[in-house]
Amino acid sequence: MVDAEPSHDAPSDPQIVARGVSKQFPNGAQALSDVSVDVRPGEFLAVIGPSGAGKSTFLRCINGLVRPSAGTIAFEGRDICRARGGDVRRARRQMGMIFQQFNLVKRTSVLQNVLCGRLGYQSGWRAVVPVFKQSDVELALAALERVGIADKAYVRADSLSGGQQQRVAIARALAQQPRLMLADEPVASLDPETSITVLDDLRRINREQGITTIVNLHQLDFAREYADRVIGFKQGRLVFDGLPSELDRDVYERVYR
Amino acid sequence: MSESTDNGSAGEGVAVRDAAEAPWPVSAPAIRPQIAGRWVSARPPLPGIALGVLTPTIARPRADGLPPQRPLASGGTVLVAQALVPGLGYALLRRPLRGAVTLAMFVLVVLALYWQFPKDAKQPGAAWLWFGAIAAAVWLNLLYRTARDMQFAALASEDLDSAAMQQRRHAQRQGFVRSLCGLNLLAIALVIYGLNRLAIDAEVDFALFTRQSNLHSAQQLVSGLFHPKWSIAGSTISHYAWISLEMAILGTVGGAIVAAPFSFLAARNLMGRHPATRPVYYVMRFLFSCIRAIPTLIWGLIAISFTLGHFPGVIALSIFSFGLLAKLYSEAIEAIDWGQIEAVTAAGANPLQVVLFSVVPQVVPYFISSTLYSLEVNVHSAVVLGLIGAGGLGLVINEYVGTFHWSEASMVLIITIVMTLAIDYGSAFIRSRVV
Repeated sequence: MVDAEPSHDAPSDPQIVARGVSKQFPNGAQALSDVSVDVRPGEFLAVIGPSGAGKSTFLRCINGLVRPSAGTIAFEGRDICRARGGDVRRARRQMGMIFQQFNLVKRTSVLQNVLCGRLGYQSGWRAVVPVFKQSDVELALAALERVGIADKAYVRADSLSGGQQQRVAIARALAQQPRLMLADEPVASLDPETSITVLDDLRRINREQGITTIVNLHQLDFAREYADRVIGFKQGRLVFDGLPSELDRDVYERVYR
Repeated sequence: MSESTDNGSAGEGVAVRDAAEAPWPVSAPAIRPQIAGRWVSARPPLPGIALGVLTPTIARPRADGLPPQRPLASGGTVLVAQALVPGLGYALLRRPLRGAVTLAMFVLVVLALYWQFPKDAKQPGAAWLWFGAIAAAVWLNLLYRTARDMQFAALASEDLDSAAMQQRRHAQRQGFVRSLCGLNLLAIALVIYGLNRLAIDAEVDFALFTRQSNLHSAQQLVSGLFHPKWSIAGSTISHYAWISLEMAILGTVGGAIVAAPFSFLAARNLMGRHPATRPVYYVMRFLFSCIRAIPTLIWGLIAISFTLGHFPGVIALSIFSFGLLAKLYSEAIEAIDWGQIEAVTAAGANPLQVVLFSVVPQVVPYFISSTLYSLEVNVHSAVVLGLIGAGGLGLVINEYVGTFHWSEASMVLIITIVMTLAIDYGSAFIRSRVV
């Protein structure tokens, strides 16, 4: 529980410091070039940009799923890009991540999926045996309650609708008691009404628990409505960094043309 | 002279029309594309020599750019010549090589028939009928093929209006009788040769049904097979069918237990991503291929050379199942949804936890399905292994057939069929439920 408390000692210090981050994939595609961004604790940051602009790669660099080819990303002062196995896992368990395709383990129960969020905290023999502590199960059920689907805890994950699955994914991220929430196009495969519910959930969690939230979005109006700050990528470069109120025709042209 | 005929590159219809107007030969050969694998000339049908639609126009285009040579005889003459001397018809069509091959094949067939003729047959009439029928089939086949060659050529040389296209489609249609007549000479020669070899090996010949004693034993065989001895069913099931089933189950389980961990090492998406682990993937794949390349029967012979009984049978089945299942398992692993792995990884799970919580739930249904499939295969194999000394149904079938106990053999065969069918349908049912 200690890990979940956001550090309020120096609220002005940025939680994430990315400096000169570049990523070139082995097939030669340049996903990111020289990106430098600071993210402050508790911020709701929207990342906009056309498909293939590097938004997903940027998010995956933050939690180490993708290793940048150049540059550094520091999470709460610790460099993610140079960290090794155990350190990366300890950093990752403080960052929840939700995906466009929900990425639930479809054949297992909803509760089992949410408990996956506790895997990073398993230590000793529990790290190699699929057995969870009672406190973990209670935490997972509480996370499900927060997103309003505690009654579905024991049904198979693939029997839920898209919106419900995405809320299970949010609960899984919440079970990690994260200090950072990464959302990779969380509403791209949902209908408008469900999208609003999911984004409302994300913002509520962001406001109530002070969890920094970074959301990749396609829809500019969602970014304008929910975000505290918006950054825009185009062909791997950072081309916009400003307030949602600054999102006008001009910015649209800069990011999407 | 129109330009299209001069350069010879115009469309088919144009070239033919021009050729029909112009006095033969035209200045350049209008060479047709390949039709049904053979070259035909673009010459229009020669008037007055066609036999129905059959017009002999088969000829190779000549390399020196001259028009194809005319055939030496008309369609009817070609067919008659082909009927009298196989291959002569092709020679008249200026296809000497094809003629020579046809003649050689025909001689081969005649020789095969001659060698195989039952000279000591008690009922020579039946033998003559049987062999006459084969010879007639070969002969009719040759004529049919010649006629069809000419028909194709004739159709190809006509202007391609809709009627001709329809006719060509009709000519190309392969009905049952047509394909029966169209059986290749080579295939017939091979069948006769193969039957001959089989007959020599089995010490029977084509006169089987013409000799009184053979007729009797054949009658016994057929009547025995149709009158299974039901009284031995219970003991056969409890003693032998159970052993075969047991071997199959143990072999499958043994193979599956070893294959499950190894399959992860042979999954490209897990092992192929890192240069350090990629060699492991290739080595494992190669190992599994080697194991599968050796049939269960050979593994059985190897295992039985150490000791007789059911145990070597189980070992043989395990080894082959291992090769099969490891491949099927690893393919199931390769088909998993990478997003689910990414999600669990992003939660901070270690590699083992990723496998346990993300890979395993995804692949277990496919593992079960593959294992049941392997059980089906192993039930078949277990019966065969009985023949070489592993016990079970194969052993008793061998014994009963060797001692001409047809009724008992029939009963064992029925049990075998029922058992394999039950396993097949049962496992198919479970598999449809699991996946």
